[in-house]
Amino acid sequence: MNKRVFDVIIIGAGPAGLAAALAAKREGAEKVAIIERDKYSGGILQQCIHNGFGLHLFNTDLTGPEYAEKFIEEAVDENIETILETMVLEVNPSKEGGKHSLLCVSRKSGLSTFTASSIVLAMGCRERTRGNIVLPGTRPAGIFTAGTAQRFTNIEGYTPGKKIVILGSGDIGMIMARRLTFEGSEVKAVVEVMPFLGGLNRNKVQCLDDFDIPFYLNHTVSYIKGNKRVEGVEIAEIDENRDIIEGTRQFIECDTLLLSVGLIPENELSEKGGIPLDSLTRGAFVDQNFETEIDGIFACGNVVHVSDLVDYVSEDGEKAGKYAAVFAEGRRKKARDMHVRIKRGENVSYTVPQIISTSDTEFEAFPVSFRVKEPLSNVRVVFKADDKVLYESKMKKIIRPGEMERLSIGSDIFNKVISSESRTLTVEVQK
Amino acid sequence: MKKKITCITCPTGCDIEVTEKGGKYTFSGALCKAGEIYAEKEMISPERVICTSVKLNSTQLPLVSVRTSTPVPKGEIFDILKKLLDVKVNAPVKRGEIIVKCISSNNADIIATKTVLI
Repeated sequence: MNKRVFDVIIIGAGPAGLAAALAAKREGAEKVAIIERDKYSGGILQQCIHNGFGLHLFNTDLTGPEYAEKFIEEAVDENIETILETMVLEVNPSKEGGKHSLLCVSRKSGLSTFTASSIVLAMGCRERTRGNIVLPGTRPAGIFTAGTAQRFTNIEGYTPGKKIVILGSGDIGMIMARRLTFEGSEVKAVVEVMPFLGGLNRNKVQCLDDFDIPFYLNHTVSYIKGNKRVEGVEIAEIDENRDIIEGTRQFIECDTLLLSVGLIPENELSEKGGIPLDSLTRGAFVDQNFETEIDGIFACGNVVHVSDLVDYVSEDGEKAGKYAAVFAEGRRKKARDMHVRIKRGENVSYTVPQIISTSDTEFEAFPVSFRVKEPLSNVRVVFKADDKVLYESKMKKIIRPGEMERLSIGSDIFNKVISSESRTLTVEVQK
Repeated sequence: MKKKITCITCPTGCDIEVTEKGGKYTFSGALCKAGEIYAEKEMISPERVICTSVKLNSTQLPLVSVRTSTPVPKGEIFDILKKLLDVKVNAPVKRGEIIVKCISSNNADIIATKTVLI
């Protein structure tokens, strides 16, 4: 069997993995490799041909492929090896302080074992499907997740259908509503189960409102009709218990149903490898340097929690890569203390990181990312320890679940939390 | 006259209220200057960047992604898309390369957003 040894190995050549690889190399790790299952680097960015990327990080408005190529070119310049068309089958954490190992397979080399001092998990996420949300009706062709339809349309060169209904108002769903309108399809409705928008407001404006695409809140698809191909869907209004309100059912003739009903971090590898996962994010528990509870195994990007901006994924990837190199180089001499935790308080659905670790590495300010459970207006974000307020944000007019909040923790708050009695930082959103 | 506009410049998506008085605009609700510039543009002549793809002769991909080099008048979107239906380019294509020159009334070009070497 093919065997190779590296300092840092990254799983996944999407935005998180590319940023991690570059940072690891620049931090001094010599042998850095990325393993990617697709034929090319860039991950999902290659099919996101719309603009709106890079505003936060580069202050320019880029499309997905443009954003990806910036990182891909830098990776080439830095001599980072990208091993394409190779699937990781197992992540095996080291026993007794040795190297971690990966079992991989590819058509070209068959089975291989790669070992490294640090591993960065950057596998991204995948879409929820019809099976996840249990939609009633027949099982004809013509039901796609929005991302699959995006890949067909933007990379493979096929449009999925002529008359489209989209369930879910996530960003990919709205972006595909516009994209398919451009390709000559008619988008007959976008239907959202919740009483509020799933994605960013700007996407509703520029993808739905610009083209007068009908949008329904508090509605669901109650039936899918079709024998060989989708012939139409029945949509209906739902009440607060998600029960259908009789008298509101209406049939929409269409040949395609797209689902934009959420993303799930892809963690089968992490789970099999015994890396502890958070049931709230469905990603690994990580500390402020994106290290999981297993020393030398890091995780970043959408495999940790689903971000709405790629810019944040790159920032987090950079941090993971940097500390993966620090660990691989043996520059952390003292074992991590992982007793300090970040807890979600009132109105908060999750936080990343969940752990604040302490060791002998130099303190660096870090962001805490979180989402609210429902849209809230006139609220403040509050950080607390031992019931004492450590930080209170300015009044925010509105916070929506579709928009991730991100606030920095400096040394001041950090020191207060680690010396607190509860050793817990609580993040709350208060009216 | 008052009008509500949601800014699309960045993900914050400010709700801006525009008040028009004698051909002059005043704004409230924008968190930055870019929002006011967008809102004014939206009142006078709305523009959008168009992102789409054109056919490609390549051993790798059937399409290459493209966009307009600058925002174009909103009313011209479908005319521009129609003009691109018959465009077919040959690999290699470099990111930033002009695919079609001056496609809109404000002289925006269509440029490639992806590099395809073979």
